[in-house]
Amino acid sequence: MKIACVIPHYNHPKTVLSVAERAKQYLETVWIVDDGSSAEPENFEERAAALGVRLIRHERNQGKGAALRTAAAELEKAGFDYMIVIDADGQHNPDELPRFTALLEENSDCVIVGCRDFDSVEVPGSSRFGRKFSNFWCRLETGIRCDDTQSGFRAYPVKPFSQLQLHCVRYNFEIEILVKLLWAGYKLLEVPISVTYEKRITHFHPWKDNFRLSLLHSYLVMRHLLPIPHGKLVRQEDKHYREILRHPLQFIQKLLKEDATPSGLALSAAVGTFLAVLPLIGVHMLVILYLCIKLRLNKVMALAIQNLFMPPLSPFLCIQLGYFLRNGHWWTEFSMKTCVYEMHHRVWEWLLGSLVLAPLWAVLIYGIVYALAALFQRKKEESAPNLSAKRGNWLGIGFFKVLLFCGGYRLSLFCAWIVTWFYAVFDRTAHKAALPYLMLRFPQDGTKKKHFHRLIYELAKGLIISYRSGLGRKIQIREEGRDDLQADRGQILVLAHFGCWQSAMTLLGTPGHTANIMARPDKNGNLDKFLALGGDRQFRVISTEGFAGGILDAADALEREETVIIMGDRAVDGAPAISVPFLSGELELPLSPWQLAARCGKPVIPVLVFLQEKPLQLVLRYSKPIVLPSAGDRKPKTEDLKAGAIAYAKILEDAVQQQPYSFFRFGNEKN
Amino acid sequence: MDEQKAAFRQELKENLIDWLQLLDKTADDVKDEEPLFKEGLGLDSLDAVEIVILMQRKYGIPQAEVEGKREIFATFATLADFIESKRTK
Repeated sequence: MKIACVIPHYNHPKTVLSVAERAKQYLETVWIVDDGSSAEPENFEERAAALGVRLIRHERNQGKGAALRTAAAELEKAGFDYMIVIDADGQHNPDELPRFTALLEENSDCVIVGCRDFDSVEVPGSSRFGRKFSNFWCRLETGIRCDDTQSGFRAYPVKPFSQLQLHCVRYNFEIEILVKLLWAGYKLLEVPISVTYEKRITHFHPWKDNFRLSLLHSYLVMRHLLPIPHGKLVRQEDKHYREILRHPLQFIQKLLKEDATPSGLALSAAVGTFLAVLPLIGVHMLVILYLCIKLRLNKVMALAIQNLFMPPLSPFLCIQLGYFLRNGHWWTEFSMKTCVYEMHHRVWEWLLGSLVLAPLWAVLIYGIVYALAALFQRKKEESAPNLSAKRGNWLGIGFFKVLLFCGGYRLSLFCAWIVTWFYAVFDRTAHKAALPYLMLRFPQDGTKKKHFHRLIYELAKGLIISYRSGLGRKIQIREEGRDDLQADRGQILVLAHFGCWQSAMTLLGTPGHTANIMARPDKNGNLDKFLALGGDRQFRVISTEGFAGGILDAADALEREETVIIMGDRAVDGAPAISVPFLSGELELPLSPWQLAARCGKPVIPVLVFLQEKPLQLVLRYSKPIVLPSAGDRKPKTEDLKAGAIAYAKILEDAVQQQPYSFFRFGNEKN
Repeated sequence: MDEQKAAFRQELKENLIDWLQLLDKTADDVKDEEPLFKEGLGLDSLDAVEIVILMQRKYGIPQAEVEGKREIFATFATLADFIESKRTK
């Protein structure tokens, strides 16, 4: 396979030769195409020749696209297969050429795009947006996701330059050639590249070139929607229709999975909705299917969503709205005259109303489907042991906040009840993680889904309550056993994943005293927000990621007579833990609270936080302090620590006996 | 190794065994170049905390000195050298 490097050059006298020289280290053939530059290095031709680089010249400036086409034509004559294009302004690193050549060795019939990592460098916001915008259009035009459609660092097959009908010569060329190569059946490959944005001179003309790009994209989209197939330059594999007939189930599965990302599903649903609302009498399904195939959307989703807008309700709403827009009042007279003789008016109003309602519905459906899909997919990525740590996020996302705000508490609970059934049925990882506890608590029928559903429903309920109080509806709080607290003498408050422990964090402090919360900041994104609600209670977070799991910092805080708040029912990965009797089996509890207690001679006060209905209130139950013998100048005895953990397990046991569906410490109980 | 250093190491070993309640071990069982944790002496993170407190109480080394320096807990020798260089009492 013969590969050449091509450097299109237009007024980059300072950098072009050094780029060529460095490229020469990796590729035998390096060409510079000078596109009628008015500024070029001194003795350009001699120095290029000295480097062994061929220089091709355009008499006048014709654009980057034209330069590449000239190079491709010459390369084809010389029998080359691929050309790797690198910009002359020095923004690309020629040392990354081997990444392209390595891929070319392994693949045939492909186009390789170097994707810039925008996260690592300072990139102007407009560039970022431009790139996303451009990626979006390409995706619409080809159905293929490309991460950096604007990158100039690419490897092109040479032949198609003469086979394809190409019209663009300027910046829009790179889009045109990419889209047309993909249409022609070439494979898209991507390699990561680095990029420097310093002292860069660009010849991109914001108005003219953006206008050209818009024209190009309009043309490409329209061309793509025409029911004429794109000419293929690469032999396509035959589609196995017979296979589809033989395995209809697999086919359906494939259909369902098609573009099943939250944004893909939401877009499919939105397009389906938009078309379903329009008065395309009798051909809804056809139009939806056609567009879905063309835009590679999820057909099942788009067709299914159509059912929501079945006549007569949706058309009726549209006609009403159209009628209102035309006449200034609602349509209330349903007679032979208005329904039949004036039918053409009604159809007209239907169209008018649907043009207003369709985009509105589409946007709304997009939002709902996106939220649900994100909810459903995020949980798929979670690993079992950390379920409750992250669960807060999936239920926490905007959806329920909006619902709470618009629909109120009861409606939110109802929706949560339905959504959690959805999880109860489909979320196998979560069920697996919850099973050990459920089996301990319900030895007879712990595997039943109803128990699991109740459990996650209660979890969701706690979150809804905490959002509700975030919306300003303060919940009544009852504290039991607060008398034993000693905020001024140092104490360890031990929390469990029980009830609504998250919303209770801020309530645990005592005004005027500092409380130290031991947590993993990376796993508790909302912690700061929760703590900000604390008002005059002061909080400090001790990271359990720190040295010795933050124990030393916590010990320091206790020496200062402050309060330390710590989760007592699950050990951080790798931290010392101990198995103690729990229900009919065992529960693994962390040793750190007990070590702190013995080391610093401070009491441990277990706290349980839960909801109580009628009247709705949040209960903070402080148990009697557990005091361990002070260790002094010795390591605390393991039996002492174990005694503390056993006493705590007993308290948890009593709690789950009373409220079996409030214990969210998933994983590692032993039967 | 000079005598003073050897004497200090011997003392530190006895202190460690006493503090960490390593009842089945004697000072001779603590080898200078063996890892303290896991496969070597078999200490865990509870013990790490205890060692830091021991250093604080018996040798007057503030906790801030130790923070972020996992390497001093590599072997008994590294620990002993660190304490010897930082001790204030």
